[in-house]
Amino acid sequence: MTLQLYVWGPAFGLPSIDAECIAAIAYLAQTTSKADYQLIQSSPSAVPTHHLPALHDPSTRTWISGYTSIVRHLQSHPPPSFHDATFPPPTPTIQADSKAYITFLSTNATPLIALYLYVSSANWAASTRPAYSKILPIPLPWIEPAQLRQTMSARAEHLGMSSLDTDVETEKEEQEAAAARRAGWISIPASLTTGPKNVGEVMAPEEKRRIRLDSLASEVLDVIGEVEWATLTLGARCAVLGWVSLMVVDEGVPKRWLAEVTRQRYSSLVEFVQDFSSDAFGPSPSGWESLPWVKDEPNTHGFGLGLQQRLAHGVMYEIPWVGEAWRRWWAGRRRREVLEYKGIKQAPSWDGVIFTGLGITALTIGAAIWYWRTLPRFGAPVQRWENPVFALGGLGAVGAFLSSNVFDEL
Amino acid sequence: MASATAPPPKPATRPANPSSAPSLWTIPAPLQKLFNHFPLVTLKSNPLPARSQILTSASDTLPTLYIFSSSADALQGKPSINPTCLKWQTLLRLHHIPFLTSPSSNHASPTGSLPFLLPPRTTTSPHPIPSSSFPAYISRSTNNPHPPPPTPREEAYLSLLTPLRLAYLHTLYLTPPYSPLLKKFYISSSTTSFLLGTILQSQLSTAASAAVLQDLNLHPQSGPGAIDLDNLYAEAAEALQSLATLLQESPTGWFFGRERPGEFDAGLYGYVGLIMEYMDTPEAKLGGLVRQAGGEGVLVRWWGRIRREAWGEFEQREK
Repeated sequence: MTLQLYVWGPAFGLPSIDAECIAAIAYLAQTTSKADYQLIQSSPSAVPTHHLPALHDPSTRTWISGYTSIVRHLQSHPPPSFHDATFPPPTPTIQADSKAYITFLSTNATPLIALYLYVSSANWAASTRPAYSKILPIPLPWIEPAQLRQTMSARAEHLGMSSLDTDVETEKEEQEAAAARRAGWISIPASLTTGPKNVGEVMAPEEKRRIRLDSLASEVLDVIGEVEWATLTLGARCAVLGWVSLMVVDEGVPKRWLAEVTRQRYSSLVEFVQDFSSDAFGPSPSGWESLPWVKDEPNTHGFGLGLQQRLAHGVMYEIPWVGEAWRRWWAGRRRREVLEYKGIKQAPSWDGVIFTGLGITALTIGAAIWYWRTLPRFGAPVQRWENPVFALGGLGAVGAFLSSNVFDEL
Repeated sequence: MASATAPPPKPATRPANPSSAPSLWTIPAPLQKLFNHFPLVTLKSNPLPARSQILTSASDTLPTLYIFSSSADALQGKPSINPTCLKWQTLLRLHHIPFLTSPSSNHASPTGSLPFLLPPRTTTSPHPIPSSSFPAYISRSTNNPHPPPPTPREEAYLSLLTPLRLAYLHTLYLTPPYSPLLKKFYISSSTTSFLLGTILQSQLSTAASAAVLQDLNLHPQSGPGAIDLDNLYAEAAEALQSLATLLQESPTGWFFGRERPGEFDAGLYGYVGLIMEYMDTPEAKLGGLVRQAGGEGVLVRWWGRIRREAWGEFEQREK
């Protein structure tokens, strides 16, 4: 049975737009023969784990996502042609170091890439968003990139640069200052206002932010720039390939701070990554195209979703209040399905009861509203016309005579 | 309690002023005599309650550390129940810096997060010290040179605390058997109302699941059901295994071959200390993971050593 690796599609001349996916592709490409696996371009809404890269191993009935868990799964359940020359590693120290550096990359370099390609509005609009539009089938670019940007912005929030508009901020400040000047009682000519006093005031906000970004980048790159990657395990080398190759992306990117810092100051790291990339994918820059890419067929396993369903879920997520609950329910439901597929018994689900209850509630409320609308307005005069009922009393004197007690006693 | 003392000297009767005739406001002599007997007894003022030791003379000379704790525990200076607070509390104790502790919450902190340190009241500038400035404070008060900045390798190993933190968050906040512990830690100290407590608990759990999901690169609102538990704990196990390997390398028994336990040891103790204290049961996987790490209980022995160094007096008291 062939393994199926679901990854984000290619962008920026790299096999994938996501660091973890590049690392997973590189690892699989170097350890397993092409007959044993398939690469499938996908998006998180299509896989039951809601996260890419996701590996489907039909032989162990496993769905697993995330780079480190995929590597762990491959090492514990190797496919027939699996061969990782560095596993098990020669010493425990190398294994521990590799683990530490992989964790460092995923916890500290991911926020940096999030700032560079997702949070910065200029880069997002000019390069990342169009790249996603290219790799997603047509209705999905309306939905998924925006949600992905939310996720990635949350990732970079602690760096303090997360006001989503790293590029709009200064314009706003300048506009406010100009407006304040116009609205002021007395307009002072610029030549008479006191000049800037210190270096900080001379610098444009743009330059100040650049210094801050540079220091954030060097905090991370100082660590990974000094590592002897060649001595570590293959898993760690593939990880650094994934993360660093996204850091040096500069084609069509308007604000290239991360790529410039990395290329200028950490050239040996960039060289190592380039060499290792040609080892992994072949010497030509687009060598990854020869890997066993397969078109996604939603029905190859029981978890596929059609485009309409993926779109519908995406639209549901955007509805206020309901969207949050829907996302929780759907994510939990998919996780249960994965566990049941693996053969782990799950507690009975309450989905049916919940949805019946919701349906009954909705019907009741609908009926109540309908009934309410048929009622006359409160305080409106109510007039009733009724046909006179035929009775003996209606016949005048004769009727009175007929209906009197005279006949009763007869 | 305050003891009765002799009545204070009675004020002398006002000398009769012959020039002024008795007016409406002068007290008649018999009444004046009667009231001169009072007060019969003056009691000594009560001392302040012991829990407000931070307001008493002790805080004139000692700094106060504001941490997550209960008021009874904080009075005795017991370990905090929050990993970050426990880290800094342990580090201060390792350097033998005396301090008082006070229970607090994030709302009280100038930086928005605990712990922070308030210097003695007698110092000229009693500005609160945020936890990021603690290393500088420690080197100033112990007259030791400032510790060198962490090496790249230390930084990398420091990131191994993240998988441990995620597993800890999941165990404490999102595992139903641990909700009594969560109540005891964070909720009973803020409110006694059942309704408010329930709301607070659900808010805490939501925040914890968002934190875990975010670090797993999932959408923060996906809910705890989306977390791959096997994977979460496997990551924590690998992290602990790597840390144990690192510790075995060290000749001194402290991380990175230090002579004395440092910030890294304290940071790991923040989690391991709480795990071994509260989560070392069969149904909580974390205690077992700490015991298995390194294969020979390396981390458990390290935990015992650091406990003796920093918290020796409490350990003896418990025995």
